[in-house]
Amino acid sequence: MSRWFSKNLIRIYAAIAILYILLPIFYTIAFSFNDADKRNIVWRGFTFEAWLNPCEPIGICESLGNSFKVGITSTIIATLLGTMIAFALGRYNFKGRSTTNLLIFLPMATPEVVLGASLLSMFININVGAGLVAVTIAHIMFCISFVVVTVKARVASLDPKLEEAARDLYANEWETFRRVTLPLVAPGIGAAALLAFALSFDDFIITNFNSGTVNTFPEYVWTASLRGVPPQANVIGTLMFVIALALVFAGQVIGKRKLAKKS
Amino acid sequence: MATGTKSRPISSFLLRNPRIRLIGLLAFPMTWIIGVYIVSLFLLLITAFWYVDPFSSLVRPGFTLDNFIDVFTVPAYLSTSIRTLFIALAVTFLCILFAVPLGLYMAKIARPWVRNLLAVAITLPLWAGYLVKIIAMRLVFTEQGFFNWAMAPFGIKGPGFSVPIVILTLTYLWFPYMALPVFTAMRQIPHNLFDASSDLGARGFMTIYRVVIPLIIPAIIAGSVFTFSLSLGDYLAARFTGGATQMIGSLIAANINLNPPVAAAFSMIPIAFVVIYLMVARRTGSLERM
Repeated sequence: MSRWFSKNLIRIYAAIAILYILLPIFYTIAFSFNDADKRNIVWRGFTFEAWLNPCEPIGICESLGNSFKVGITSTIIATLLGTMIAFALGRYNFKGRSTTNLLIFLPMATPEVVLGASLLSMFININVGAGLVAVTIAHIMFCISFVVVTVKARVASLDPKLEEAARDLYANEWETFRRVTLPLVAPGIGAAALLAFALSFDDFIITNFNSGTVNTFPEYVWTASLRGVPPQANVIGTLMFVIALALVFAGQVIGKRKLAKKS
Repeated sequence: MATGTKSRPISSFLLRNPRIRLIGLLAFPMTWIIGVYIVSLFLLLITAFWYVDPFSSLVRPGFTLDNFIDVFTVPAYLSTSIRTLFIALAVTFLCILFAVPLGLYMAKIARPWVRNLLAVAITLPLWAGYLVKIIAMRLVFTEQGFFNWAMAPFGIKGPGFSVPIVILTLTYLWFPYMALPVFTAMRQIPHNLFDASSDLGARGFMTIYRVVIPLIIPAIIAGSVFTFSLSLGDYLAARFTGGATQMIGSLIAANINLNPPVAAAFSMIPIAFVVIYLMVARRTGSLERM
């Protein structure tokens, strides 16, 4: 009896936690269909209005473009640099390894507002004006850490026997890396790139400190929120969410198919 | 190995080679991290000792402790620091409180398809915009929002925008950072430990307390570093769902353009909190495993 109770207690608990997690997302999606007045706070009826005219509010699509520019550039560079570090940490034992680990970890553990303020004071000192370039440099810095952690886990889980086998079959270092190691680590790199893009695209605090007069999408939402966020912002939020969901899902399906092929 | 018997020069080259490759791998990326992260933090620290010229209102290099004295003696600032620390600790605690039973359910009780569904549900919010989520939380707890509507039959009314709502919002925002490591650690606990525990007469809660928690402590600490430091540095949740609530981040953001040295001095408080937290966490040895 008490066992039954404790089992169901944990179910109820899980259900509440999940409701808590999903409620705001449900709200976001629902209010993209709201026949909104200026503030989009109260439900006033269902309409496709915002979905049909996503660029109607001034500056919204421009800010979205800026976010994509920054996001794509920082994702590519951070994924490349982070993967290099991940291989170094995963493959070599060297002096200063734990210091390197600490240096990777610190940016993730530093409160964002501190990062934002310190980066701004640096950009002012070295005469890099606040703007998209400064924001991109900053994003690359904090994305690298997350890439390293994600890829390192994958590198560490590799079976060294596979690479030994490749060498036994007379593959040289480069061939081993390209034909064996890289394909095995690729899913980790893909996940890391996805994470880096999400972090960059979504960042508000660091961006807001360093972007000067240019707006990214989160900054647009912020500025708009002072008057009232248009439902178009919910449309874009919903779209990004659906795209990310599709990518994650596609990744899982591909992963499963590969597993099925193997067996 | 196939090339094991080859001549000496090649093998000695290979011995030296890994080192060159290592440097090649690390040099540029680490320069970026050190050049951007360390240098900027260092400059911020120096700025904290500078002052703003009262006549020209320009930042002047110099050495003054006034900014720090302000931070520690003005009662409003002091109470903001304490409030922020309290919020960060409360958020961390709530995240643990949610994550442990949920992780246990997912890892050990739920059927595989439920488990996969929940794993996706936990990570989902990471892909929805940060500001969009905060505004959604504002909508949930607003006067005519979901919370008051759902609780009305029970005669409960939400507390309005205040510190508790800030804590709930931040808990929501950072929950995945706690739930994922806890869930991963939970899955690695062998099933028979639960059987052994119940064979020895432990009930559900006893098992959680004596068996599960000690095994997932490293994961909890790893997750708590994120929930703690992200909460310390946040000011938008307070802005949107806190009513008049101020956090350290609010003070930094408000001062960064008007009085950068004061903003820099404020920044040292969350840094100090995080460093202390990391030092405690490091003693448990769980940072090495991240």
